[in-house]
Amino acid sequence: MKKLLKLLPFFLAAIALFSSCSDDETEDLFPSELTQGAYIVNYGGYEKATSSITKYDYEADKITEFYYQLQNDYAEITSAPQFAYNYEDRIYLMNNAPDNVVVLDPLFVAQDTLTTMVVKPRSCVGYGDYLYISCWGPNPDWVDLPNSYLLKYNVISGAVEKLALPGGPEDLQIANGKLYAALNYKQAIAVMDLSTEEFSYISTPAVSTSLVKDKKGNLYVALISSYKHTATQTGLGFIDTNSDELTVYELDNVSTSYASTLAISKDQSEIYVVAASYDAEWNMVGGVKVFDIASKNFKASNLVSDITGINGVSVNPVNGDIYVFISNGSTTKGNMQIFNAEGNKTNEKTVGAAPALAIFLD
Amino acid sequence: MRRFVLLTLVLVLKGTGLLAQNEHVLDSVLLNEVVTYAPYKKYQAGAKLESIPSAQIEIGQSAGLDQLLTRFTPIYFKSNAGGLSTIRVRGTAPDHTSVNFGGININSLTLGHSDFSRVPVYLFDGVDLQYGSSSAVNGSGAIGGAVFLGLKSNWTEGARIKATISQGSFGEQLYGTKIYVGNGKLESVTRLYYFMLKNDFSFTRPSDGLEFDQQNAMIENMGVIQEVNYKFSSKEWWKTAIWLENDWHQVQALMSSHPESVPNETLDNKHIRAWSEYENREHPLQYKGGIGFVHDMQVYDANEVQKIGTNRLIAEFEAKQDVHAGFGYKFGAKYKYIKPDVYAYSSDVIENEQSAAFYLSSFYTPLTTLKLSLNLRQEIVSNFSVPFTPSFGAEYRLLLTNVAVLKLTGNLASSYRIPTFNDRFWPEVGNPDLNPEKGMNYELGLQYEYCSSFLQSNLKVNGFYMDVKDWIEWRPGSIGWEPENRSRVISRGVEVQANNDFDFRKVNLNFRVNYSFNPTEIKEDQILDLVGKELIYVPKHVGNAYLMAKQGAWSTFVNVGYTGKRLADHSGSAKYPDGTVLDGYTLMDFGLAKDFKVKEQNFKLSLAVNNLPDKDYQNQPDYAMWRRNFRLTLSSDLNFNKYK
Repeated sequence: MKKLLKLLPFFLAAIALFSSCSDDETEDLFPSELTQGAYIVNYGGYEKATSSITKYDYEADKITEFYYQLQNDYAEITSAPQFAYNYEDRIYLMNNAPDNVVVLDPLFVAQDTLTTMVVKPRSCVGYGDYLYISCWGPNPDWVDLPNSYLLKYNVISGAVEKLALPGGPEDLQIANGKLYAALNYKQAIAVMDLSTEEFSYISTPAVSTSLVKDKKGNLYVALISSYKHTATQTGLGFIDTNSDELTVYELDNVSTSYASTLAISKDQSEIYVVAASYDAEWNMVGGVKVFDIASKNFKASNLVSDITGINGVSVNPVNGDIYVFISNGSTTKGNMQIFNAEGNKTNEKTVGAAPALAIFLD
Repeated sequence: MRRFVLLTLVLVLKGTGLLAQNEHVLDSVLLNEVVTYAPYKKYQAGAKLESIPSAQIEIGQSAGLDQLLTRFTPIYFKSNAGGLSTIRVRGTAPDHTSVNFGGININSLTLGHSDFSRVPVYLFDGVDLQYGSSSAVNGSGAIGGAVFLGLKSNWTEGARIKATISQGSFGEQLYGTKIYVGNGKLESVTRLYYFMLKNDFSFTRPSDGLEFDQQNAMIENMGVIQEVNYKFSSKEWWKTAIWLENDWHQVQALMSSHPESVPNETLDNKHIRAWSEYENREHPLQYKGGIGFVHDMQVYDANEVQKIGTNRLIAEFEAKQDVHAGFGYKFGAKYKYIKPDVYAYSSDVIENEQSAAFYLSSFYTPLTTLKLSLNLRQEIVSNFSVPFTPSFGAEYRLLLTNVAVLKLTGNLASSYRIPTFNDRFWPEVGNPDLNPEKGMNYELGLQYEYCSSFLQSNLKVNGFYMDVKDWIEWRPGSIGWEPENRSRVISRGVEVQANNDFDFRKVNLNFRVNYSFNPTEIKEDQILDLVGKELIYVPKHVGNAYLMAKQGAWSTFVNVGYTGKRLADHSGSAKYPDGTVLDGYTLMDFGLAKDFKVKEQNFKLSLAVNNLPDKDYQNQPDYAMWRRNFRLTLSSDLNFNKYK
């Protein structure tokens, strides 16, 4: 027993040592009370240095403008963030002009900047040790984007590898062991088998932008018009990821914005689609259409209508609130309208220039 | 020789102030001699017009027009280090200043404005400016101001060759020549230039204090103007000028992109601008007619698939008569046929566009002390409605002595701008139903001239108030970025300009001061947060001073320019939550030159030091600007004229 008691300090030290490697440390470094909130990514403007992150503490109903700058010794986001993604306790900003991927901790303090092979990054998705980043590549022809690709980035080692994917990949999702890429310059959804890294394609009647995944692992995609690739149908596409079959639910004037134009409700019953329609005087006005997943129809009434400058929509996964982002231009502050899960407007906040999407940390 | 005597006489008369009593003489003689295509002042009493002196044009000849005007006028340019520079006259947008070469407004019909860094000063003999609205005279787009690029008629008898070689810091090279050949009646003038700038200057990045060499900001421009002029008599001539321009540059990389993420984007612009004009002054009813052709083409990043271009045909006829010294009128019509060549436009939407403008101008001097002018213009555009545009001006002489003249000037001018082709026809978001922008300019000024044996002085103080409605901006709309008539903007202010010539013991001194105070306000906007705010990139205070001394063959100058604080955006930053404020800056340039002769031919060697205090500054956020730099220029004027 005495021997065991002598060994007690060693055991305690060993316990302390091993426990320091657990998730608790992350919890300690980035406690929920500091990180919890919605982080609105304000694109700003291409080469305009007006990008910012706005933190919205929805529990306290408190807005913190220029959160990134405040957390980084007033350093500005000099590139325009096209997309933001939370993966394995790191936040990745896909920045354009100059092109890079900035890696942040959950307090939005910059940790690293990835530039190798990063040219016009658009979106990303994480899978295992890898982050797949869609890139449009150098010298785009703005017609077919033959030089676009996926960048496969090892988040542990930092190694990068290029996977050619012509057609301008935009949003990415992973489902059923496959990576799906919405293509913005080709009427198809690219499907990459994650084990073989070989691509196949699902033909679409229009080019696409946003992709969202439901809890069954199926996908919804925004099909939009393009003057270079004339659409035969626009609207909301549903992809059964078992069969890779596409069903199109037609809708005119789906937003061509590169912001988050699709979102799924917390209870997985509705898809919100940013789209425009004509008012009584035949002026085209923006709004958010609601697609009822059960009935496979768009509801007659919009979540919100008559919004000039509507840019994107996101859903708070904690309380189900719907955030609608309104851009007033690349050098002017934007707005965020907040709706509860029942579709009633509950709040409105001023955010940064050209708000595009929100990511949520808990 | 007669021409030289006449010009000399005009200049002497101007210096003594006598011309203040006979301004129409000055207007019709001086402007027609120095700036061939700009006989515009006579019918605009009370309007503020200014000619850039030839000595300043010579100082700025190695660079773009933006640098010349930034140094020597109270006009602000939003610019980077040579790649893109857009004008802001009296708080207005770049689209609100017309840039005229002959009967051509060279502003892009797709973008609406000109890049002043690609207008080479070297090619021109004169640059004139009009401040404030002048659409009644200059047509669409002249809401904030107008710039006139002039060529001087020499009617060469013999041959004359001017050549310039300039070498500067950061790999700057300019090679230019002007070749005049003629027999007094038929004249050919060829003007060529080649400009190259590696632009690899070093800068200190403010965010981390690290120093880098600027990457990917190279510029290579070249151009030629070929004139062929024929003089039937002293009152009848035919002039033709063809301007070919090929400009290429790398889009300047941001400081934050150095050293690893530096993009290499390029812009290639090609232009053909031709204007041919016949003028007859033999009869009391004088007339002239001109035709022109313009081809503009822009290619981004060598992507030949995505061309953005337009072709224009222009024809203009004008007749004028001075019924007597105190009353004259002119009337005319201008026709344009425009065919866009833009990859994105559908021919179903826009195949071509035609417009015809009809105008009438007159001046009247009811009293010896009072001159009035009236301009009326109506433009008709296929499938587009343009407002009727009048302007009215007056000049009243308050004081006249042997050595001084004091005048009160005033002008009311309406103005308009037809939306650009991109505004109306860009696929999906262009809006053919946009309203034209409409402006109203109110101007009041005092002009004092003093002339004695050792001092000639000219002081102008102008107050202005400009109200622009239906201001078009591209902002996010229902499904993407769309142009809309969004704002009403008020721009007002005061400009002070002084020009003084001193003769002191064989030393001639020229001292000029310019200052502009220009607050702006967004009066109405669909975005309520913007109402009451100032416009971005409009400094409240801009000023500069220029001193030149000349003695014998030596001359030297120094100029100091101040650009005040200005908003770069309305979205702000952590430091400036209500809008990012760019710091003001003061720059100083210095130059020294010596004239000399070799075998009776004229040469000049000059050295210029720009940004003498080595100031680190930003005109736009994240764009590095040139620190101290040098330029050495050798010019020659080989004159084989029959009459030198």
